[in-house]
Amino acid sequence: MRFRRSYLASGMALGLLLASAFAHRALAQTGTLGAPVPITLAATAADKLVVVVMSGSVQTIASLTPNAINQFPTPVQIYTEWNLPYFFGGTLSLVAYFTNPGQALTTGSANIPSSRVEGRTSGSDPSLLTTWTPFNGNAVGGIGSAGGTQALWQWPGYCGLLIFCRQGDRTDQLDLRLNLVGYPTSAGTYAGVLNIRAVIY
Amino acid sequence: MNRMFKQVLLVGALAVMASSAQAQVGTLSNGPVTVVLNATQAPTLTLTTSVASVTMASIGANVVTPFPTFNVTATWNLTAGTTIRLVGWFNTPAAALVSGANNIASARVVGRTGVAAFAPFTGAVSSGLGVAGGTQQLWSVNAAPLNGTATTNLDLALDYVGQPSPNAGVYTGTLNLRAIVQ
Repeated sequence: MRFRRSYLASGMALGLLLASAFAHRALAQTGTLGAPVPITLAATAADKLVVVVMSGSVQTIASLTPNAINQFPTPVQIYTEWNLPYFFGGTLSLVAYFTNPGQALTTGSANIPSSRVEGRTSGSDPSLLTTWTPFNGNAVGGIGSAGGTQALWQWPGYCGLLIFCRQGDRTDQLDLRLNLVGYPTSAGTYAGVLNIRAVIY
Repeated sequence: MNRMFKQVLLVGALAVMASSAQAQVGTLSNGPVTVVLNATQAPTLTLTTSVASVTMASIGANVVTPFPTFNVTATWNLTAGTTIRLVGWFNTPAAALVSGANNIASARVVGRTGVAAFAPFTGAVSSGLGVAGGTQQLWSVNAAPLNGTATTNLDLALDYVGQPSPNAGVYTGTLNLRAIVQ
């Protein structure tokens, strides 16, 4: 009887051992896992602050009228896009300027100063040049020339921390004109370059 | 200890934020992008007179009878040129002034600017302007500077020295004036 019990116990133990072995084998066959191989992913989203003149990059007045306001016929479409890290702080502004305010447009020895070139913007808010304004301001955020600059728009205020506007874009329309009222001009073809740049300061 | 650890973490986070903010101030867009502005002012040369017409009451025989003096002003805004010339002419030299079938030839019409001597309108085409036999260059002025204005008097008269006066009548005619830059 003892022998039978012992035999029975041994049989059960063997059974359990075999079952365990089979179970282990089954597990190894259906879900064998190799050692994890880590792959490091690195992606840098660089600071983006892009200004593009979408249209109107060349403005022409075929025939100036002396002692009058002469508006350039087509507006300048300016697209600005930014994608900046959190907490970049400061003010985001789009600045337009003439390098040499005394000679915004020139023909030979004759000049039209930047104070006679006026701009007006419309488009996304907030905009600074809602009325015709001469380019006679000082540099903004270190960009521009003294007496030949205007900020077209800037985002301080509710974007002061710029957490909510660290990424965005906007399109603005810039109208330009020459105010020659009371300013005698010599005959000739005047040419000049208006620079546009975005800056955080 | 735990509180101190939090404080250290907070200070560290603020330092990172401040560092990040400082790093971004002064960021510039690519560029600058540019807008080219071109504007052309065409050269101009205009002539005006102080009166539109002049009248003499009676044409004298054997004398030079003057019309009232008037002024001619040239205004110019040029890109080139050295001299501005004033040219006057009659379209039909043989009939500068007409009264019915009677004519006064341009040879009897004399003119001058300033204090120059009177000269008849009998010249050839001048500087491309005028009519052969009915033209006179009246005046020239320096075009420098290229943006300027100048005024001169213009005296006109009918010269019947050695001649009887023309047939009675009211004679009318048109003197053409034009400026040219050369």
